[in-house]
Amino acid sequence: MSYHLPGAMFLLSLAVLAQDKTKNPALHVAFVGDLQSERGADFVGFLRSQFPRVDGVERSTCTPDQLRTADVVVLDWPQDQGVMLWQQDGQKPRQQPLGELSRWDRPTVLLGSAGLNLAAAWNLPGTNG
Amino acid sequence: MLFQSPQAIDVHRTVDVATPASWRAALPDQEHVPVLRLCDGKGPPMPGWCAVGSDLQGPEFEVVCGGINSKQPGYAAIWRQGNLLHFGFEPRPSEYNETGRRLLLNAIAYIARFATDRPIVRARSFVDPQGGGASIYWLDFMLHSPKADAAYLGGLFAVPWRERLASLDLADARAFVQERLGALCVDGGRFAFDDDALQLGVDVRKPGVLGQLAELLRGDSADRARALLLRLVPDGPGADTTPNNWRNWLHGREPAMCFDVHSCVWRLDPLAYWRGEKSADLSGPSRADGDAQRDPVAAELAAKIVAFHGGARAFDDLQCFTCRFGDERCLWDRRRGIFRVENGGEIPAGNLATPWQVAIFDTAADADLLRGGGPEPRPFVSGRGSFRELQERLFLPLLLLDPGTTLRRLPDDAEGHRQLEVHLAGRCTDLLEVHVLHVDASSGALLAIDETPRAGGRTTPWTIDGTMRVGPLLLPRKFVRNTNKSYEIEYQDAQWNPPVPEGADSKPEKLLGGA
Repeated sequence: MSYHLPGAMFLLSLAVLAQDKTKNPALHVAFVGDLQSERGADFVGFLRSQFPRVDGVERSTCTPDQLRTADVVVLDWPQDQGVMLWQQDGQKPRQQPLGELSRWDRPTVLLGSAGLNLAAAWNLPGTNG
Repeated sequence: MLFQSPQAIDVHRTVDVATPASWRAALPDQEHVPVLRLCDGKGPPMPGWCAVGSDLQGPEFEVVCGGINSKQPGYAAIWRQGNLLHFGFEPRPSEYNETGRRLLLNAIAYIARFATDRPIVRARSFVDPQGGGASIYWLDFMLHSPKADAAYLGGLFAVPWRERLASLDLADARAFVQERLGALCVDGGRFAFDDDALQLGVDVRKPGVLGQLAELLRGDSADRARALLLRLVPDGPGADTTPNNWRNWLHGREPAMCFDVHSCVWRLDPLAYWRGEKSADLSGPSRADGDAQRDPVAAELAAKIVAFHGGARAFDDLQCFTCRFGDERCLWDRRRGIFRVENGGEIPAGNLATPWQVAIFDTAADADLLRGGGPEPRPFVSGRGSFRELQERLFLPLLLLDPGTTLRRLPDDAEGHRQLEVHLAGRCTDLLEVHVLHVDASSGALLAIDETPRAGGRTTPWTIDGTMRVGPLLLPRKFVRNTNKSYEIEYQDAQWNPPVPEGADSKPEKLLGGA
């Protein structure tokens, strides 16, 4: 592949590739993660550039009550704040940002290891990986 | 779907990379594999989390794609269980390239439409306080892999099966297990073979086995059949169920039951049950609600209706709602997912209706917390019906743009009003009910709703008489049914975000005022 493109053509290709937010459904999204981190800020900023309403919710204090009206919840939860802690102390109370499985009714995207943590917490398939 | 919309991804923009070391056993003759890059060298050290593909068995699973990390090509990176979409890639938005960011946006848009589905299958995890569960992945490995080990195969089983298997070589141990797979069950963290299933000669995994066992409840094998049914249907009608009631219970549910390979039990697939379909016929995107591509004309009309009645943003801010209709008062604690209804009506002398005072319904779990009426044999009163009516009447104009709602623009009615056909979705919702809204074309005001419980069923036309202001919302106030037996329901004393009384989710005595 050649990278020797004229400037105008390069800009045009960027415009074609960039996400067009008008194509996204008008969703109310709740992002649950570490809001103080660069990673959390990156997610909130990106989601706010794409959807009309994005709530940032701190994972360490999150309860399902805060998420009940969102169309989609996006959960970011690293392994060292989930299964790795629980492996160290199996009996320690576990803070689960989404509460009980039977009462979790929001469509949810589990980013990276959030899927492992949640599957482990709720005894769902997905912990063999 | 995930690669097509709303953000188009060119899946042909692949690049060839050297076949990852962990894939070479599965792809021995392949030097390179084409991959769709999500990052251009900026990703985090850990690329993400993937899961064993063979573990993801059940009607509510959908595997979208794999990814490259240290695992084999059969592992899943993006997959769905019910309303949970596992997006295993670890980068953050600024570390993705355009393809990665588009895929993330599409994932969010895709899962938004799974308003009703939920995880069904369970698998005890390695961090469960009681210890890890029996693993079908390792059982399959020991039964088929050339790297298998007889001692390890035996170790997957509880006593006395472990000792039986330990005395056999690998080929015989495998044959022993294979012959009994139809009776496989889980005993704590290990596998076992169910003695009742072995004696009855039934394959517990086979569709129709529950009905077969219910038939055996009347014969000589009734005790074994009953014990096995109770184990196979942990969320079933219970130990005291008569043969007739087992048959009745299964009659409406057996097509909607699915086998949980991890727990070796049968579970109800709620989506199939409420849709009146076979669980076996519902898979992948067919489990989504709403319109994959919403008709723009229908959406424009829906947006007008929503705006007239207060707007989606205002409805999002509704945390709690109370009102009175007839003799009943209700409270919807939306944040906590609790609906409470109290009845102040007196039953006239000589009337055989069941008296009741309070019913509490868990709208998040779609389950009764407290039923009114009873005790047996008198009927019980669930809060589900009242909650559904609240959604289908008062809040219907505000639910139109929910991702799970299906919309269809119909021709204008005889009076020139716009018509919009609506199917709602979500837990507690009657998924089969059809609503046709009659709408004032200029304002977006809802004028009437035709309710049809099932497609092709008898329609009940409701005319809306007036609105009521509840905080920033403008809700329909009075519903008049103009059939041969006219009827009115008027909603009064509605309150926006009132305080929730203590014990609203549990107390059996009246808390909402009134008689």
